[in-house]
Amino acid sequence: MRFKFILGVALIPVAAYAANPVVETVPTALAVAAPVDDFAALDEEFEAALVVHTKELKGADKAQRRALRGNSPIKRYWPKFEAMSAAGEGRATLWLVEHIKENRDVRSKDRGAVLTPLFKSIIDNHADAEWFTSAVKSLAANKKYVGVDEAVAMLEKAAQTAKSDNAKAASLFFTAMMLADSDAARSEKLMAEIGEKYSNTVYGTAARASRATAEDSEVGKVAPTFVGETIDGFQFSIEDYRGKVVALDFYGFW
Amino acid sequence: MPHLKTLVERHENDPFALIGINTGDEPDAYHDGVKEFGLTWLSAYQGMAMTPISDLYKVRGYPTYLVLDTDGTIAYRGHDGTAIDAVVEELLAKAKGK
Repeated sequence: MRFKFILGVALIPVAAYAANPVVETVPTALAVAAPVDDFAALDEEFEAALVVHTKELKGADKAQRRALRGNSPIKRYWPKFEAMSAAGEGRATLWLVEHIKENRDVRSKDRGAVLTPLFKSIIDNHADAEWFTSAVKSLAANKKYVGVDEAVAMLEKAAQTAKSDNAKAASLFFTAMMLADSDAARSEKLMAEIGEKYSNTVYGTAARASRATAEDSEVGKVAPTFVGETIDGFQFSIEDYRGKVVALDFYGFW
Repeated sequence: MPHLKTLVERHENDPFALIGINTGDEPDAYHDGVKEFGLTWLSAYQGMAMTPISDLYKVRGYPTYLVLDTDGTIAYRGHDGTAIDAVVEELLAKAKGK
């Protein structure tokens, strides 16, 4: 899900090309303009190596397993993503952050020291990226390693630098969550603000959920408005369904 | 699920929408479920970490159904999937009468 849109962009020209075998000559300008997405290519290479690695592990005995683990894809590809990240490719930085748990070379006590500069770099340089909300989510998930105070400081900055409402709302929401115990008053105030100002986002819904009561959604009340997201990332608002009779089904396949 | 499918098909040409709010399924299980039950309607996917919509509606048991009138007023809340049919019919009749 994380890089689907990136791969999508990278694959569209290829697919369109393959579907039109009649076109034999590619205009030079087009060929030059089509950029090679180094990151998408590296990520694809890594995922393929991972599939091979998992297959090899299955058929291996104990000694072979040890050897395979010593030369795992994460070990081999980590420096490549690291170099790409250092060269300014923000998606590579996000990749490092999202794969650090799989990297056994970074011990959990050192995780915070590795993660903090990576998050700082993303917040300072990539706040307008489409994937910025993923970085914010990841930061919140790593608060244990980064430290709550440091995480809150970074999230506050992210809330300012973020371009999209969804990323801003996410930054503020996780700030409020982290402050819930240490500064309950500020946390509640923040939740109220997010719920009102960013009601058009998933995190606005989450913020209002934190303050909801059972009475708000009993028979006779106007249904609380919410923004939902499908598994493909499509967002919709219940407000778009006014004028229709709506049945809501809260379910799980489990 | 088969019952909901019938409900959706019956009101295909009416101002009616069924919206699913999925909770607690891993992505793979979700995709399998959609295929197995032939889900054609809109469904939010909340994933495993956060369940904002369920929290907003204080949903405690699954499945939980709500039926909303055209102005958003909650007309039914409960766990009986077959009970919502009559409520939907009634609200649609009222909407058509306007």
